[in-house]
Amino acid sequence: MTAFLRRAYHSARRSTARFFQRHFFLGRLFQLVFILLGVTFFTFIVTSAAPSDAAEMYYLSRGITPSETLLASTRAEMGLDAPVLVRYLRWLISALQGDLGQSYQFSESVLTQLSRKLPATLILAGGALVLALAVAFPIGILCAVKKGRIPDVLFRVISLGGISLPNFWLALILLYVFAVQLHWFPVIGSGDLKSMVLPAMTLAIPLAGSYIRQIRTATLEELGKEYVSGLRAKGIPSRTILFRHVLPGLMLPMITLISLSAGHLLGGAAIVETIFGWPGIGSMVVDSIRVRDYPVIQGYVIWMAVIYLLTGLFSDAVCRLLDPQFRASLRIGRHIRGRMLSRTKRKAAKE
Amino acid sequence: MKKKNLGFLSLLLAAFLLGSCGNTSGSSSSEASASSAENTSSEISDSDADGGHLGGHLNVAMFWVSTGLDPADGYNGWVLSRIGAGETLVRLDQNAEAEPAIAESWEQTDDNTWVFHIREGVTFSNGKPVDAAACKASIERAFSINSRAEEYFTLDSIEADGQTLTIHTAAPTGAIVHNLCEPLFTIVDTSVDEETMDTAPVSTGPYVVTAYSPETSVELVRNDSYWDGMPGLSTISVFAVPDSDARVLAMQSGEADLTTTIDNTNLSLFSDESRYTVSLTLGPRTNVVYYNNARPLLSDADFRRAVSCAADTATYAGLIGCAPGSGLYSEALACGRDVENPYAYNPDMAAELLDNLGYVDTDGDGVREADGENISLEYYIAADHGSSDSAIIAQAFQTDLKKVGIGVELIQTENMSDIRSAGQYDFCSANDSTAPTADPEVFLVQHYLSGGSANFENYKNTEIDGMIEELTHIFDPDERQLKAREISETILSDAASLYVGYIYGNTVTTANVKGALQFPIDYYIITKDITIE
Repeated sequence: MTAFLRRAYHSARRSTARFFQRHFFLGRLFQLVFILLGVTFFTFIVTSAAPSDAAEMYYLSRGITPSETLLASTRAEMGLDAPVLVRYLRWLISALQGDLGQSYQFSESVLTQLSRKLPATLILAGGALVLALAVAFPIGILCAVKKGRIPDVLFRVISLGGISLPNFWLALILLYVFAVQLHWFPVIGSGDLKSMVLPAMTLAIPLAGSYIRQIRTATLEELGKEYVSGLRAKGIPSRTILFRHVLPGLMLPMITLISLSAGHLLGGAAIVETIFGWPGIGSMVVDSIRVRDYPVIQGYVIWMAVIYLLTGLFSDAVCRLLDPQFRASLRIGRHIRGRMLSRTKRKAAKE
Repeated sequence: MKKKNLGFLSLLLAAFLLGSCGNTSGSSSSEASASSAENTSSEISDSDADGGHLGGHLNVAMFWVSTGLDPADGYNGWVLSRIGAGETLVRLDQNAEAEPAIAESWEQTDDNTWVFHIREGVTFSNGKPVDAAACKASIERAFSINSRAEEYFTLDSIEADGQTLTIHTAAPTGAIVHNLCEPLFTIVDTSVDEETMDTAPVSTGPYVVTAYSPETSVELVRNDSYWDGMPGLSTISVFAVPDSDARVLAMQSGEADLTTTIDNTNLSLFSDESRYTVSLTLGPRTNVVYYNNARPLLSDADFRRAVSCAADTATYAGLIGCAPGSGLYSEALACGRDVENPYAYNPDMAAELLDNLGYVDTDGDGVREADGENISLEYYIAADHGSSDSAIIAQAFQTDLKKVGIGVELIQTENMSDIRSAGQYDFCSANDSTAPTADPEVFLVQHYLSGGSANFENYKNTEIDGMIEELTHIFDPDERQLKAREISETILSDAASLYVGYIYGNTVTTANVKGALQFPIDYYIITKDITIE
């Protein structure tokens, strides 16, 4: 009986593993459900464990000292008088029905809050990413091609500076130079393209600094491979080697890098958003943590989990498609399966 | 070949840089100029049309724009009042005293009954006349929506008869007139569609909301039927600029004509009077060091007195740019003026008191001992309201106490509320409003009444309890101020806490903006009196 159960267990495990190998996206979505349950539960427990609750912080954060009566009525209004597990289950049931609850701090639904703030965050993150890549990609390659020479040393020092600058300082310097002195961009953001440039630059500069160094390293690694020596030996021009052979090889590490940065940027940037008055989710979540606005924190956690999983999924999918070895394995797999199938058919026909 | 590669990459880089920065900046520059030119021409034409002072457009950089404008919801009323769109029955003037607004007069008929006479001729911005019934509906709506309303007075019932509004409270509330100034009680037309209340509430203020973007901006136009004369501006744009440094830059770049709540250290940037006007006023907000009266050493009044005498609070106030503290209340209120503090800075008296208590330094290490152990007290610091003031005060306090032989350990904390609730501190810093509606009662009840809701100082004094009880039954405003001053002096003589200084509120405008004043109670920023020359 035990041996039978063990065999059944291993067989089920193998089948599940095979199923998820074949249905890659389905497997990832299946994982997402468990991850969402885990992170929301964990966040709920941890935030609820803080000694002061949302009702108390609601008043204290506004410089008001609430009476016990007021606290009790506010707790009842917020539903904080129930045990934490009951509150989590209530929240989970509502969330499964598409209702993420009501923000304590802003007196509006979490979904309304997120839908109002996410577009701004998406636009800013997209702008910063494009700007960072536009600057870092050519400079990173240039540094690799000119390794050890003046452009390489110069841009490496600049990129180090870009990485080291604190965001708030960079933001204020950019505002002073480009808004106050040159009047090129506004200080007060109105959500248009012009008011997006400075916050996007503030986020892009450290990102570009980091990208330059990573692109340089990846390019050097690719240039050091034997196939490049072989191509050079054949007399193929350096530019052709760089653009036709080396750059496609950089795509895989670049996509991983971009997907990680995208996850980070889409989480919002509280300091940059505050300084530029950019209505994104970064400052929203910092405020929410400060005043224990549990429903907003939960909504943010869901957003972050989904974003990281989706960007990871996207990166894996693109890497699979771009990876020649994987494509070859797919072709081989199809070939073997086809041959096995035809053999089975032939066998069946003979019988 | 290498040169060709380098050239190509350089070209690529230059194209990226020019494409992403140059073009955008170029167009931005021209747009900015155009926009600036439009504003100026609009100002000139408005100004001409209205004959000199009236008219024009004002850009305001505000530290906070709420998620909604319904005054009964959360603290939205504060924003509605600050932008000049909402008004209450009574308002607080430049001396933090109650003055008539929608109600032209009021009287108390018994301990629990107050009669307000609603001004004739006041209309909502939609033209509907304001009568007692409209005020009743608005106040009752505030009570039904916001539990905070109960903090100001407990409502029994309201009667409306023509222009006479009678409020019956469930308990005697001497502070009711001041408390009705809280923007939560902004009078709005409740007959309009409830859904518009959050985006375009109809009130009686000098300006009317025409467009609103949550947490971002508000557009306003003049209320031509305003009851108290013609407001000075045609249109106003209010933008949320949460960061103080960014507000400074917005003023310097010319994008904002008016802003408030600039960090004290940055005010010197606006010292050029030909370009800017700065209005500074003391408010009720106070920097205070609370003593935990339940701790072994601090439970002794003489030890607390020694601590208070050791602290040079006037110097601390100078360091953080606020007015030196004397008692609980700032000089913005009558009860904060001419307060006697018998235990003001006097290090010799501090040393004498400690000697008398038997706390002496026997081992010569500079720190006195109590029960054979060096005295070491814990001072918890939290950054209040994003300011470093509390840290500066704590460090100066530590230095002064060391001079008289008391050791103080400074501890940073993320959540002061937890530390206070647990009573795990000797000293802690705070930045509290001691008279949120310019009335002194609520702070005393919460902080110094035995068992008060915010009495985390664990202060117990039956004499003070009796005096606070008396205060709740005094209804004359002047008498209330006198009583509050007496209580303040008694608390100081018991050295229950250390009041360091009172904070100046500030409003900064460009020089062409006239009539913008900083009020002691910051419910008001945009008023009908602001004009652009």
